[in-house]
Amino acid sequence: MISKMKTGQVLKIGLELHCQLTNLQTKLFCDCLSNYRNSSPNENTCPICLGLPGTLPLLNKKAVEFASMICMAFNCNIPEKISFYRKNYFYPDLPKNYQITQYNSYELSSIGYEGAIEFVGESKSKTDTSADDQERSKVRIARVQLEEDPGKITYEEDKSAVNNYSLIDYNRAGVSLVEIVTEPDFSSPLAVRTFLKEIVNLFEYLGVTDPSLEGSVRCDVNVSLGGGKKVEIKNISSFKEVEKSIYYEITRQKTLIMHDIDVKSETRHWDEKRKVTVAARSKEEEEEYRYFPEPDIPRIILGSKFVSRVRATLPELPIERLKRYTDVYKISDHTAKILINDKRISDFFEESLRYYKSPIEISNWIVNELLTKINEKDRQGISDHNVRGLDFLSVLPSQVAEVAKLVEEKSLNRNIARDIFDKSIESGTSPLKIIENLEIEKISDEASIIKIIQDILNSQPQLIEQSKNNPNVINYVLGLIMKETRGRVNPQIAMKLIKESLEAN
Amino acid sequence: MGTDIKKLCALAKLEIPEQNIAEISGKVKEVLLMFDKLDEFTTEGFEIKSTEDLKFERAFENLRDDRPRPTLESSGKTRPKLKLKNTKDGYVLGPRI
Amino acid sequence: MRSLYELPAFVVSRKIQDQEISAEEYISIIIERIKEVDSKVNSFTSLNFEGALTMSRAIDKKIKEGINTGLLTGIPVGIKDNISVQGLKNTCASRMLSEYVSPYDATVVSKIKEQGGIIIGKLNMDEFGMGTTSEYSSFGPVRNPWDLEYVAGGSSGGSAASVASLQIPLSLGSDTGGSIRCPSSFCSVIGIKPTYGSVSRSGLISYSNSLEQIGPIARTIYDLVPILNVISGEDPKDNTTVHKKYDYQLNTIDNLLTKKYKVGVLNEFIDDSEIEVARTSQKKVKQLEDYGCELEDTRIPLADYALASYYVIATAEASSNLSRYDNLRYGYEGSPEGYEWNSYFSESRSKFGDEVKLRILLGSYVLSAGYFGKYYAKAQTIRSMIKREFDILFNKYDILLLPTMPVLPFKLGEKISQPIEQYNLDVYTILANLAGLTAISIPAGLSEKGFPIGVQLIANAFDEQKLIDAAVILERAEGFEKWIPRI
Repeated sequence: MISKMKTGQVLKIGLELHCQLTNLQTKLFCDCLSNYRNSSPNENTCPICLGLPGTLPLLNKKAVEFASMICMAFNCNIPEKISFYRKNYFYPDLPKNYQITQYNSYELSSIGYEGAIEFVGESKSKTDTSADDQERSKVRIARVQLEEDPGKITYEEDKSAVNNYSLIDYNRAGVSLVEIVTEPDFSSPLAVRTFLKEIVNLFEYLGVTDPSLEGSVRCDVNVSLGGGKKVEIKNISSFKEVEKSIYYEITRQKTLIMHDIDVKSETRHWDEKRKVTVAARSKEEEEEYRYFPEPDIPRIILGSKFVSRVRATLPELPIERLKRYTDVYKISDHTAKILINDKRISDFFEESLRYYKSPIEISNWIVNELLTKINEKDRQGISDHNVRGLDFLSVLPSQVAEVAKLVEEKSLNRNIARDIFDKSIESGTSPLKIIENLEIEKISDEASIIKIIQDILNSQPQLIEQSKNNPNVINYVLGLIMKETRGRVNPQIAMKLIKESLEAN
Repeated sequence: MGTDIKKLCALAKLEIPEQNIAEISGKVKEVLLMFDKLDEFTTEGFEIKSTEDLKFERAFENLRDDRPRPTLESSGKTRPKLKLKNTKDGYVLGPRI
Repeated sequence: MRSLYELPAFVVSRKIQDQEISAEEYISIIIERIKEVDSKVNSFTSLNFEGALTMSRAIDKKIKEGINTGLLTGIPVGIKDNISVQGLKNTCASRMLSEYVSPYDATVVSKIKEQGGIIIGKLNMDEFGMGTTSEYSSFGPVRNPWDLEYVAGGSSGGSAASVASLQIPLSLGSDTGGSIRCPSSFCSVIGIKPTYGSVSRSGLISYSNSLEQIGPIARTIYDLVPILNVISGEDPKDNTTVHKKYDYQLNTIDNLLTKKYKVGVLNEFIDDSEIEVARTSQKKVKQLEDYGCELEDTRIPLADYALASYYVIATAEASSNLSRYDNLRYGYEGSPEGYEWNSYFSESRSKFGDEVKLRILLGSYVLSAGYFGKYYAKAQTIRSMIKREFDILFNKYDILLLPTMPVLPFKLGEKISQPIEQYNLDVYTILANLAGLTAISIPAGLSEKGFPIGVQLIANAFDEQKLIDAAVILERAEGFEKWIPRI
């Protein structure tokens, strides 16, 4: 599914994703905390992650397991033995001035290789009839590798030229990172966006990372036009920027081609403020990483049973969930996709089912009512980051289940149910409670209304006399009743009863 | 042998004074000539797999468990803190990038 | 009567445990001896006298209280300055690390402390272990106690010279391509390179990780074995250590006479050595025969390729290991303020000595784009082949015999700045490192002019016991304890 741009040049985009394994307790090679985000500068460090002389890396078992789970989700092959390599380059955020990573040029070293993943694709609106025939896109995965994150460099002043020095914090150094390299199988920035959204969701399903944490999932991009040289874009801070940077790069390359200037194979940085890519270094420099096998880490024997053992612990993946929703629950493909595309929504759905097992009804309430609400709030700019959240609404799965149950079992009118649901969402009260309150408040028994009328007539006996000449008295009395009861009585019934009462007196 | 010593110095981040370049360049060449002995060796008739080297192997099961180190308070031990040089508010002072 | 500093460690340790003398008295005597001698030998880079005295008092107290104080009770141990000791400077004899104090103990150091050993100071060496003479040191060269104008051998020159000159009875060195055995041979002490994976490298500042091991140096095999037992063992802090029972024995001669070890004599190496070295090696062959060993000539066909293979791997690993020294987090005085990072790194790293720079450049070259296959991969292949040849030999022999060094100690400055000439001196020692085997250098005699000669024995991986047995035999045969330099 290679699409041609308007100029007729084939566009090929590949991704290099970096996913921090934030759900680990410790770093990749030492027992410092994997969660570096709450520490003051350089507090979450030890001789190993600071690369002090004489320290040796001690590989985290669980990190290997988590990385292999990602491989499984991407349908990669997992070799029986894995090994680590040193990628040698100098940079002040790198405590050892080399990064321990994996590398497949001299042997099969990485935890995963040659995978492929279909992405479900964004569900279009219901009116879009093509939605069901929409083809699933397939992306090939070149490799998945486990490596360490570097530290972080900051400045006191925003403009780097003003600064006389930089400030380095090594708290992040050594945190487990999984790099996923795709083949250049994307043909549009939009496809990239859809894919990224889904991948983030997938990571969440796997339980290896919390994508809502800043910097936990990062992405580099490579773009080539018309079979030309590949340009890599690094330094992209968020997924929104990924799309923008690709658009920019396409335009830049097109302009070059138009002027008969060769596109150089290089790495460019995305300048978020100026919204341009800037040349960073040439490929030639990059080839000097002087990779060689890390002598301090033995080759790790995963063994023949490793894959089956980890696979058994693998949580249900979105694609499997989708199948279950459509096949077992008979939910429409459209609705099911919306549910699974956000793990938290899907989990919410699952939880609701525990209170009332009517998947179709519940799924409709979530997709048509709840998500509409959330999207409204979204548009008001309440939530941001890579993942939208339910957190800001104090909705419980039981609330949705109750509404669904009221409609299905007590044949509650849908419009009223919708009102009740809205009230429930806003107040956090359970729908059942709201219904109960409403029913108590509705004064429909005639005896109660007659009592109110009598009380009014007793306090204002002149009304009986006046009513004989003035038909407006009935309306006046009704007004008093409404005032008294704060409008809880049925006006038709009340009118009838007022008439009867006046006549009887 | 196209060894550009200056390029190599840049790669290895080593500053070598101009007046020493010729000498060190000569030594590098001399040693590389010794390394060329490797070219005389042919692996014909030998079957060597890339994984059949001297690299140690370790079973996955024997790797480190994902457990944070006990905090200093609970272990009762005081871990001597490394004194990083040139710090400011806990950050390590670095050069300009 | 001999002074305490002349006695073997195990003898003194016994006296301390029996409360014949106190650990404090002994350490005080050792301190005096070091003060008297080391200005001539230059074997120490830093001293830990206060700390040592404090530790000795603690040991005396324990002994009085009847608490078991361990295999090395009261024994001062010198540590090569590339092995981390908490709170002490750890310079690797480099200006790059002139201010670096280690915040942690190497595993071997913790183990020595646990067994009552006392860290007396750090020992001089070739910068980062790169050298065969201990002349490439920011502290100046180590001098050979047998003649102060001569090299002590390297890179663990301080470790060998301090023990040979009766300053301390025990030291730790590290051996990447002969760095324990060469100075042991040149100074007439006994030094062992343990099997790769039997001693933790945690805390050893890496020069070439896949080749090197920490090992002890002593004046007699009876002192060497206890400390070897102490430092050997699997370490959770070093994933390249091997789980095994390490319990080396000092067998009696009667027991050894029944073992009848098969010894392969690497005659080509003996013949290629200086005449006095060759003659002495043959004498050792004879002595082993006298004690019931069976000797046979043999050879290692691929030895010709060993040197190139070794130096490609060592420099490649070194170039990467030494990258971390950029003087940002630790190192020496100086601040990056005002610098652009490339120039700061290059300028900071200019503090490396010339030999280290040379090896970093070589290593960077052999790993650079397009050369990996020509150099590194080829070197590793040859390494595997050499290992195979050893496997075949060890099917036949228990032990291989060859000289430690092809030459006698030479004058200071004689081979300085001549890389190839120096590298060529390593040809006999690098074999054991390439193949991950264990090897020992045992004093074999003195030349006519009174310079030490060492004989080297190599055994299969984890066959240290065979080397120890042979050392007991050779020590019995000639009693090398009497070879003490006059200083």
